[in-house]
Amino acid sequence: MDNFNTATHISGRFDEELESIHTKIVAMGQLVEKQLSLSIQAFTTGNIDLAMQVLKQDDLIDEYESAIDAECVSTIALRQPTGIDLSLLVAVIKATGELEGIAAKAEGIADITIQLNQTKQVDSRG
Amino acid sequence: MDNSKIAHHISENFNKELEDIRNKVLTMGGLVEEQIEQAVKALTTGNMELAELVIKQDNEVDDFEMEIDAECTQIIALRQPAAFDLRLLLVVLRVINELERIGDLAERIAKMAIYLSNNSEGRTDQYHELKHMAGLVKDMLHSALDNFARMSIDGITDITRCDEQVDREYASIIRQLITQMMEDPRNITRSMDMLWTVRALERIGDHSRYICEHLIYMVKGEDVRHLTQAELEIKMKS
Amino acid sequence: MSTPEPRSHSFDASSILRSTHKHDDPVEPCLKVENLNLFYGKKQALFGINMEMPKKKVTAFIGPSGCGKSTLLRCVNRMNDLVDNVTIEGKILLHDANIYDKSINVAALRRRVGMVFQKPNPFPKSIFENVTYGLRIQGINDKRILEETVETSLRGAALWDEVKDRLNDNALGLSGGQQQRLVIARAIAISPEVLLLDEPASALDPISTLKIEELINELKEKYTIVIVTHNMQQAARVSDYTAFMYMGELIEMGATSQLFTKPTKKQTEDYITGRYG
Repeated sequence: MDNFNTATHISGRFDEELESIHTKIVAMGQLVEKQLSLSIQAFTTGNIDLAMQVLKQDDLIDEYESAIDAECVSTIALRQPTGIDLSLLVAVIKATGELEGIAAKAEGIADITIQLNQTKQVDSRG
Repeated sequence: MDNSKIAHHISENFNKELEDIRNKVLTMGGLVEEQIEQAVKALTTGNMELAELVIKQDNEVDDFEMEIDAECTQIIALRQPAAFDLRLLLVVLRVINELERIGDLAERIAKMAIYLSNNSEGRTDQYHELKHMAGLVKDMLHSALDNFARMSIDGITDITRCDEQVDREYASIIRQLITQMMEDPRNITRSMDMLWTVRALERIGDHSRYICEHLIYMVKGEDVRHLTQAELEIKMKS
Repeated sequence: MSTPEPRSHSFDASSILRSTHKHDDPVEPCLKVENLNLFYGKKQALFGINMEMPKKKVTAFIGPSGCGKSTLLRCVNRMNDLVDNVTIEGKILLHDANIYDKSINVAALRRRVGMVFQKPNPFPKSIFENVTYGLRIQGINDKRILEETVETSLRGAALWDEVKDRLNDNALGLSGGQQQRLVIARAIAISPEVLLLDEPASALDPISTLKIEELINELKEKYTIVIVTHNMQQAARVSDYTAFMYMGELIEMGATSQLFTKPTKKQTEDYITGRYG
């Protein structure tokens, strides 16, 4: 939280923009955390519905990544931050990529869950 | 090499800094291409020295990543670039990250080669199935870097389309491996080793595709991540 | 094997994603420039300019020296009328009324469209007299009204706290940055709708510049602002919309965030990335 140092710049718009980016990356982080725990739960309990639920959230995570990146690029272009502010924005861009990567892994687990349990269902029927 | 995209700044120093960054990215890319080539060769021929070389090269790749990363951040802070220049620098940050991941995957294949050669009872010519797939992903990366060198995205969808082929080959090799494991449980160890390697190659294809997506953002300013190949082709025609 | 319950997440992820900043609100135009041509004698300086400046937003004009950005700005409160030999064709509409119409009273127009210049130009009078100057010209002498206006205008110009104890001191004793904010206070004292700023910070040090920029951001709550600046980074920092001009023509106008990250015209790209044309 402290890293974002909002409300300390002479430029109030810069603070507003950092605040908006901060809110979004926290929300994206929570969403990814949820995806991961849901996918593991789906896998360990063989719950296809839960796995489907994970796959449904995929678009939202992609949108978060694009939206946060676009806000960071625009803030870098318009506010020309230096020092810690710049490092922070560059770090956010990297972090969205990592979060998206983690979410993709969670989707992978959900995918495997569905494949595995569909096969099982077919096997038990046949 | 076409310099029109990065030369012609009124500031000669800025031109030099961008040129320098581009050259470093291309050197780093060349190193990573070599890593893939050597790692696959080490695996198929059982050449352990080659495998150890790949592992050593990984430190060099990591150093490149950190150095280029620091330079980019510094240029953004000092030159306050806008538009294409800013996108170029942000894309370099992403591209070197993809290259570093690819380097890690090549290292993983090399480690697999060492592990396997300890268990292969002297066989020197094996794992043919993955040679073709390895060739495909190497071509993808090479073409992506070639586009980066020219700062162009002409024919970029041909490269990303190749990733679909890589995915198909991946799926077909996996099916083969599962069949082999079911036919004869003695194949399981070899098949599982093979599976990790093929998985690494498939990931290299993904990262090469991501590099192409970053290049499209650099040139057109459009975020095309997460599109399907068909969607991407429509977008590039518009 | 026990699975940890996923933490409860009561937040609405998709509404957070769509939340945006204040400056993304829908806009309505305050000023419209239509087919504007301007000639100095026979030499044409502005060529068929068409643009809209949205209400309560900051519009910046950028471009190399001599591109016509200041000339265009001066058209908006008919400052160019004062220059000999100038011919103007076309229209500028302020809320749908053409300011070049014969029926327009230029003095009244300039009360609605205030202007602040590059060099701060306070009068050699007290701070109080500087702010109330415009009101006194309009014949307002009620002491209570004058005092109230001085306070609100100086607060509006972010200068009140620095000068409230010395309102009768000579304005020329203020620093350059304070003088410029005083001039802005003088401009807003007569409650204009539009503020034109011609390189308002180019004579100031970096901190005073940042204060002026922040002030601009506050002023747009009440006024439509048009700013000319040769400092591209300043345009990036303060404006909502940016117009890039070159050799008397409007090359490209758009949302500032778009123009600085993804301009559509090559000339704009070359200019904002510091390349030769």
